[in-house]
Amino acid sequence: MKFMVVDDSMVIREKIQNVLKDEDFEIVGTAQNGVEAVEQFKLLKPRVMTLDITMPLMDGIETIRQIIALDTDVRILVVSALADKSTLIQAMHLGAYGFLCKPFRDLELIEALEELIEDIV
Amino acid sequence: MKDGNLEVFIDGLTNYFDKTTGTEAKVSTPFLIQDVNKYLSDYTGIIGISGNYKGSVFFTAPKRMIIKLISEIGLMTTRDDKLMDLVGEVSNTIAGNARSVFGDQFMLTTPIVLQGKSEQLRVSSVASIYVIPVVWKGMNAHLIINLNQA
Repeated sequence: MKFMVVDDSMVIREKIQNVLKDEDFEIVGTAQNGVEAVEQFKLLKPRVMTLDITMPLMDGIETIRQIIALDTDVRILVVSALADKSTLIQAMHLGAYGFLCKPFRDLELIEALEELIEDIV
Repeated sequence: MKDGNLEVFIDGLTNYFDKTTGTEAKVSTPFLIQDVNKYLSDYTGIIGISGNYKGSVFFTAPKRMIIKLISEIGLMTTRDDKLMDLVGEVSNTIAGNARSVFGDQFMLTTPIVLQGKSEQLRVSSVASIYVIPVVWKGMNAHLIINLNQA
């Protein structure tokens, strides 16, 4: 399943790729801000993605809005340190499928993604 | 900022080390300072805060702690850009987690990361500057909170 990682932290991007290297995901791309994410999304058409909220150039909320406008079927797991309910509600309202609060354990990421895709595998 | 509000940052700090490394970070009693510069270490991540609070949140740590921390995340590297990235991410995570208490009007900048010690960094003199000492695997770091309610 084609997968994309979006986070302004290169350490987090690499960590997520490492955690998922033995899972059933094909990591087709990464992006470090929302602008890059939308560009990469148009080219690579991933089925699933993790997405940070606090990023330069374009934040994760606007990124969800633009990506869902391109493809309503994409499964987006928001992975963010922003631990308030309104950010969660806003992201889910715009079309995100799940929310994982940073910091996270490896298993929490895997379980969140399994839940995200359980009806499409 | 009320002294009691420091608890959310202490919780964020201990939760970060616990979840990321599985090894507890020990926090000791916070104290007030006048000048941040003598507490800055090899790498410092700074998050600017606006909205219902104004000021900044710093996480500052020695290089050997960040090298150890990044290895526990699963990346074996001593590259400065990655170490600086991680320090920024730690500060961002601790500040972001504080929105569970301060709400969505606690607005965060993306991280600014300094390398090396400084003697010229200036922060708001209106808000108190709290230092929270932390020890992880025998290495010392500091979380610095400089916030004023808007």
